[in-house]
Amino acid sequence: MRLLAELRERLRAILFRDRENRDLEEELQFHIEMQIEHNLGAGMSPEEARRQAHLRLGGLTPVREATRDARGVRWLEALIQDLHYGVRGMRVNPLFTLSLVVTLGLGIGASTAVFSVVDHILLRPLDLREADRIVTLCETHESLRGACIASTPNAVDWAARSQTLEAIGAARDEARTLRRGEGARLVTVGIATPGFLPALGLPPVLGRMFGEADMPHLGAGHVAVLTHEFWMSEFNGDADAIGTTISLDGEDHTLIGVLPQSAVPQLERARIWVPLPWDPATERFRQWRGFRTAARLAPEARPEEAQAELEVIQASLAAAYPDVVEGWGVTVRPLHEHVVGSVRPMLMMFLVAVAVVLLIVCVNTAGLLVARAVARHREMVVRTALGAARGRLTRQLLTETGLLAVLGGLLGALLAAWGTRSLVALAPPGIPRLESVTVDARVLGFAFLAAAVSGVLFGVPAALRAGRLEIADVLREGRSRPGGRSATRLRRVLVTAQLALALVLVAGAGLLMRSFAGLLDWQPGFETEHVLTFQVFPPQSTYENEDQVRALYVEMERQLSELPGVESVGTASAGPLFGGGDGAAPFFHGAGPTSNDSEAPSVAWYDVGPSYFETLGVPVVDGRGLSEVDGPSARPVALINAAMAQQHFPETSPLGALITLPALETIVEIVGVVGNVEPFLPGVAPEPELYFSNRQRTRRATYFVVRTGIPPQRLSGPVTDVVLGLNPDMVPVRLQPLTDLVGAQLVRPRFNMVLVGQFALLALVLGAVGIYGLIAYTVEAQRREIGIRMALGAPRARIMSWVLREGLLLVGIGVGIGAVGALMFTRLLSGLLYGVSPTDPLSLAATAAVMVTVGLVACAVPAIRASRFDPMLALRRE
Amino acid sequence: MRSGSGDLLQGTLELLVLRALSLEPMHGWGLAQRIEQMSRDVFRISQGSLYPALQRMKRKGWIRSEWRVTDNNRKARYYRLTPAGERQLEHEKESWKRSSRAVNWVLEGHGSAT
Repeated sequence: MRLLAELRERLRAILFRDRENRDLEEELQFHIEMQIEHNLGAGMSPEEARRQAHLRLGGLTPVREATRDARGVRWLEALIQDLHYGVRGMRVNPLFTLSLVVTLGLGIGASTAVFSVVDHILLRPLDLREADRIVTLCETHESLRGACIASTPNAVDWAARSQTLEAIGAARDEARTLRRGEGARLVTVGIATPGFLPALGLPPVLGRMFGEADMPHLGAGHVAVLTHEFWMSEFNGDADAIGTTISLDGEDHTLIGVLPQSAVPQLERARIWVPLPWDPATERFRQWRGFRTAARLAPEARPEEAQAELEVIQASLAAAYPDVVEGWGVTVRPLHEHVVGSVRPMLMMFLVAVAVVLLIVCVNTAGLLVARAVARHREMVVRTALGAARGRLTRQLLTETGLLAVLGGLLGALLAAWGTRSLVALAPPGIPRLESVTVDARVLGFAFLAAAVSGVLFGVPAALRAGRLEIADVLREGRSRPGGRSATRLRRVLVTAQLALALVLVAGAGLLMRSFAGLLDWQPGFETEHVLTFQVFPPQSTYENEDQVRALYVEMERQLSELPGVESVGTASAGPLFGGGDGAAPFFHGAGPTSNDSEAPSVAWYDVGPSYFETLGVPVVDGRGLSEVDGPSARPVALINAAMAQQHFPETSPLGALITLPALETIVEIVGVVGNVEPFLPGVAPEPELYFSNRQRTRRATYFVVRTGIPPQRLSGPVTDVVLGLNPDMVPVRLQPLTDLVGAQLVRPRFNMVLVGQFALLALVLGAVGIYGLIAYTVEAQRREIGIRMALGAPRARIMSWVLREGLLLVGIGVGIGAVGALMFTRLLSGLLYGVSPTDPLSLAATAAVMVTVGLVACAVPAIRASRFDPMLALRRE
Repeated sequence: MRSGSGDLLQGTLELLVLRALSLEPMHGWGLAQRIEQMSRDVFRISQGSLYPALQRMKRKGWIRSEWRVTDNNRKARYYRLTPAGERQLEHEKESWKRSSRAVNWVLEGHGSAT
């Protein structure tokens, strides 16, 4: 009750301040008059009565003050007054205010945006039920790098025998032609074993999931499940979509369910899901490791237990199927780790870089506030002399700093929101989990607090110190301002810190730039201009066996090569930049394995068409290329690349040699050697590669490369027409010039470079401005000294070099300290650099040179100005 | 309860104001006169401390103020007790009686308490 009354009174006191004051005046006037009357009545003269009345009351002003104080809102009134002063102060020096608020805003905004992105992608768990129990199972081989793949028969066997994993499924995505009413187009379809989606914990929000009974090889009719996003965009979220049919590759599929809104990790591109069209346990697919897996740990099981168990199972599979499984290990990897692991180095680096930016901004804020405090020393001295209590001054300074911090924070919040959105929009493709990124309020609060605290921590004590009245200083005339010396020392420290931090970022940016330049320099060993590439998937229903597929490809190659503008056409199962690739197989020299040891070397293998190398401009360095002669009834032949020839046929010529690959059940004769195709990683040597003739081993899905005399894009239309003309259900996929694929490889390194580069630029600018401000101030404060020196005969050049030395000293210290930090930071970059080591001395030396140059330029202006001082004027100034 | 010499006076003043206002609503000057009168001129109120005290008591919700016209047709701010103020008066009366009894015992040196 009392609390309410107090609150009401205080509120009245604030809102109706003026009226309350007027009321009080009236009341006091009334009191005086009454007392005067009383005094008159007691016989005093009018003047005496008035005088006594005032004396009795005790003086109007003290009573006014005391009563106002008793209202209990003094602090608030003081706060409002401080804010008023603060705003006025900001308007007086708009440049200072603007630079402070802008740098604060940038620092807070950038660090919040980056951290929000990193937090969402890296730190938050996947949006699936009990996401930490979900793992993916990867078959590993010494020749494989990074991919996590498995084959369906292996997955089936694991599922049957494992106790620690309770649901195992395998899936992949493929392009299918979708027909709904008019028109056909390609969609990415996920094909999965019944356990895959349930293992991820994605129960349908509508209808049902497909299960064992829906597998086509068991005779069931074709069914399909839609992703939520596809259902919304194609069927408008209509619940009646369930039960209708769609045509995929000419087959009718009944829609039976809709998935929830979470993305399917690893296979986010799939818009429709169907059961595997064949029996997953089909033995001949055991070596087709083209599937992703998902599994759920049993309730009490730990990942290490699953790993141990699966290794045992895999070993027994290797014993049962030595040709296909021997040499392949298995890894149980938590799904979250697998999804984000590849981007972790990049994100961690951004996190550290932006933390450095925030630190720089804090230091910068502190420096600016200290500088301003010294500039306002006169004001502080006067106010202290007039009786301002230290507490009051401190409060006012705090309020001013707080006001600036709040403005900076607001700007920072805006920039954070915009920055987060643009990071998501500009992020290179392939970054997982981007869709869930939003601004993280905690981070915003933290960044704001960091900036505000640093401002307060440095700015306020400096200002108070600047206001201290020392007798000695009052007596001394024209000396540098009291409190200014320690402030200058503080500013030196701050500027040096800023330079050190800037060096760290510039070093990182420099390394990334060198790495990117190295990528641009890539000599691929094949023709990248004037090549068009695409992929086709001949539908199973029309082309059931190898002969039909082969005939199709022969015909397609012929028709394409007859198009005007086409110089050459080739085919391959996989190639540089397209991706694909089946991994490697162990091989033996000669016909048949000479020993049973599993230490046989491996070679990466591909199926290529006769004119593939010719189309890409890869030279045949020995022997001959493949031709139509190497058909299905001829003896099996293969080409090898120069790396293979060097490593495994160092003394003899490989031509005519036989090679056995038990896993592929084939023995081939080497008839030629082709030049190396360099991998897209400078500094990585090409691996041994073996090329079969795809007339002898025919692939269903194949990449085409078409060399053109005219710009490749102009042929997209004609090529598409040819392909569709052969079969309307077969649309060319990923039809693009090879140069686009090259560009795609550069996207992520460029993104890294640009982002860190921008941070580095900001840091450099702040550092330069910081040191400029400090040196300029020092020169100004030491005008008299300079004047004396000049009057005593020092040449202008000496003055200039003296000033420059002062500045370069700071730069040098900053660079020295920063170098240590830079070495630590660049270590984070080691996963992101190509062809450049993180401790590359050339880059670091260049970075140091950049910093020194920038520092030199920043100090040059005040140095030149100092050398131009008129000694007479300088001496005359106080 | 009360502590410090300044506070003693403040607390006592508030008690006297409560008592005076319990008889009838008054304006500030009249309050000063009444208190002097009631204490048989033992207490000369420092008039200057009256108004801050009134403000404090208003904030605590013990009294309310309103502008009225006096008999002489002048505008003055009158104060009156609120129910909370009446309760406070009773409470203060009790405390005061208790503490004055205790002081008496101490001064007259009676060993045992009742």
